[in-house]
Amino acid sequence: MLITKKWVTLFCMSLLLLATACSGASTGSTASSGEGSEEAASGDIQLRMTWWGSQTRHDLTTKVIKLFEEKHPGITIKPEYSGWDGYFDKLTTQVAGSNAPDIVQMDYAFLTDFARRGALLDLTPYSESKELRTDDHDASMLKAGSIDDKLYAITLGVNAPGVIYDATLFKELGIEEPQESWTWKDFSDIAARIAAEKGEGFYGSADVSGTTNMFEVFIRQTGKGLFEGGTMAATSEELQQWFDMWGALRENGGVTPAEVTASTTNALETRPISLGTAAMDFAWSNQLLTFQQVNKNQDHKLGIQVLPHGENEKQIGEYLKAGQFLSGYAKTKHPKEVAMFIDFMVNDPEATAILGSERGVPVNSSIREQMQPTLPEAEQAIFQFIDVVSKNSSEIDPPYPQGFSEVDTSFKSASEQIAFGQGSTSDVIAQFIEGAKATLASSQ
Amino acid sequence: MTARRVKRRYAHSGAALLFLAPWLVGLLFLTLGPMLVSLYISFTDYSILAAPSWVGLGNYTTMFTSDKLFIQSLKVTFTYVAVSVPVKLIFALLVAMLLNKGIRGLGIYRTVYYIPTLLGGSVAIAMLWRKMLGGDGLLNGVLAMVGIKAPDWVANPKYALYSIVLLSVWQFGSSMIIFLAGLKQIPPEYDEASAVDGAGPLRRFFNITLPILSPVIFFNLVMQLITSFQSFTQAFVISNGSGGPVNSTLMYSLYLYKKGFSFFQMGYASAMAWVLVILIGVFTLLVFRSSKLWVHYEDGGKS
Repeated sequence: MLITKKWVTLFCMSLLLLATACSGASTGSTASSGEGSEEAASGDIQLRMTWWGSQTRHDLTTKVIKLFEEKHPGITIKPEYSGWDGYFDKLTTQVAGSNAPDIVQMDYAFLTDFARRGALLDLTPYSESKELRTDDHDASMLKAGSIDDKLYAITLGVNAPGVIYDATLFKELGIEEPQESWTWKDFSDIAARIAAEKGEGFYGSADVSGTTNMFEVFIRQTGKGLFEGGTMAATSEELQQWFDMWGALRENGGVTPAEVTASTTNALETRPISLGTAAMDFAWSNQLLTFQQVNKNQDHKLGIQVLPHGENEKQIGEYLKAGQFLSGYAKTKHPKEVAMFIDFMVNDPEATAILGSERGVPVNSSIREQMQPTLPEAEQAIFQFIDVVSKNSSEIDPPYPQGFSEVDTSFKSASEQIAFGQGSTSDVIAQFIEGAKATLASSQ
Repeated sequence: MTARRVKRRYAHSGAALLFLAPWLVGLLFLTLGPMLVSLYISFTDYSILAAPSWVGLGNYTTMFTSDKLFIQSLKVTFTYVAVSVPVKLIFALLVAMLLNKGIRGLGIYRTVYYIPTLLGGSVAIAMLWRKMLGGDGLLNGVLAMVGIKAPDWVANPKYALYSIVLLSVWQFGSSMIIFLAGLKQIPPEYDEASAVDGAGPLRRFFNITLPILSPVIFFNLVMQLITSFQSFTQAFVISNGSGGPVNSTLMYSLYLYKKGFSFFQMGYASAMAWVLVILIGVFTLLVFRSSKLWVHYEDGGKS
């Protein structure tokens, strides 16, 4: 008999050892191979750049990289791109291992976290020396990219949150397209009407009750920010109002039911409006282009309108946002070249022409003027939308406090709990507020 | 012992050390080193980018006193282990017994059944699985044909975890192969003799096959227990990294990962890792202790 006790014991013990080793290693310091960018013997400079986005964005960005490499033969840029899901998890890991890419696409929600923790390159000196020209950039966008008076991020495009809608479908159903003055009540009525007309399996809108950005606008309409003084400013009554509104819509089919919402991801291809099962969705203005491209019904024309207004709003909740940013990695070996590339991407006429408004309307005002007349129809719509918002919006709130990402996650989880009927809305809200306050307090 | 024999012994161990060297170096630098660092970090507040600051047992006390998601992740993991390990082992044993019947083309069947184990841990398979079990996936398409309106298995908090269990049971291959090897070791005379004595198939299974196979069952049990406690990929992919819906698939290691890499709480995550080490150790020890009662060795346990 081959199977002896000794043999089994030995094998099990060594497995246990291996098992413990794995769990230890997964959280210990990540092995860092190759510190930052590696310099080839020829003196050529190699930079790594990372971003998230759709296939369209990947194609356009790689094109710009090629153009930059042609104009600067000594520098090569290695792209590392992915979708949104997992992007920041990976970036954090890389920063922890001291091998983050030199050029990083950054998001407003994570900017404070990364800048305050010393992961980002201070671009102020390069802006002062004009290696990175910012004269034509909107002042508010420079402010948005600055933390503690240091410039850490350059806006890649200006966006505003809006409601994307299937204009063709609205026409078919004889429903008037959303107006700039519409309210949350109008939104609810329209959503319910579409559901009633189209029958089961088709919804007025995607359920975005768990999307913090959209709830933020709702709170801004009450005259305050979602976060004030490092804590959450939304009251339980306001959360109740918000979730009740979506709850009522789930009841009448106005928005997607819990299961459908849970299986929807941030990838625009998986959104119900793209799959042809809903007429509206909440999104950022720059996403209109991709939404149009991935729509199952290619003959349908999409439109965009401002977010619904509050019934008795104290201020307009809508705001202009620096869509994505470009930042440098604090430990890059070639900060000057990083600044050069960032400059190229936002100020070079050819580069910006390639990028168009896929990441949002360009931040450089003279580039914007040059570009506008040459744009295709869908991009014109985005420019116009940004025009509307810039006349009719309030100033963006300061960057989210540290610990935001955890609060963001539990907000989504709370909305799912309510949608799936796990616990009463008021209990879930009370738990969420308690948790959010504790998280924010301990992250300061 | 003569001097010559001593010398010879050292020569042997020198060669052994040489051959062991790559593994030893790996153990020291890639395993023990990081483990010690992680043990230190577990007593600190460490946001990855700033230097760690000492908090003593703070992380450990938070975990057990005020972190509801930690408790939730324990619940999810225990449910997963408690359901998936026995189901997988029973299934693996059944298939192994079928394959032990000496059918034609045995090699092909063995390979086919083993393939999921090779692929199962991959992201691609988990994505595929998610599509298959989704609201309008393959499974629900088939169910709809026979008139059953089924839920979205991966997006419903009641079932999401069980779709991951199913995915893990599907990877029964490696346990099955080991069971098969064990079954092949059982001398057919035992079975024949008891059949002559009038024992039915069930009786023969419980009185002959199972006891002889018990060391193999023990081995498979420990192995599956350890891997199940650590499962991560499937839950990560199927829930888009969120552990959702409503944290129903928030596996322990997934929550650990989120704490560390999404929420910048590496100290806390390290503390969680050590709690997992202890948990796995305790459960493995329990199984070892219990083995005296049900594991039978041909050599009478003398070793």
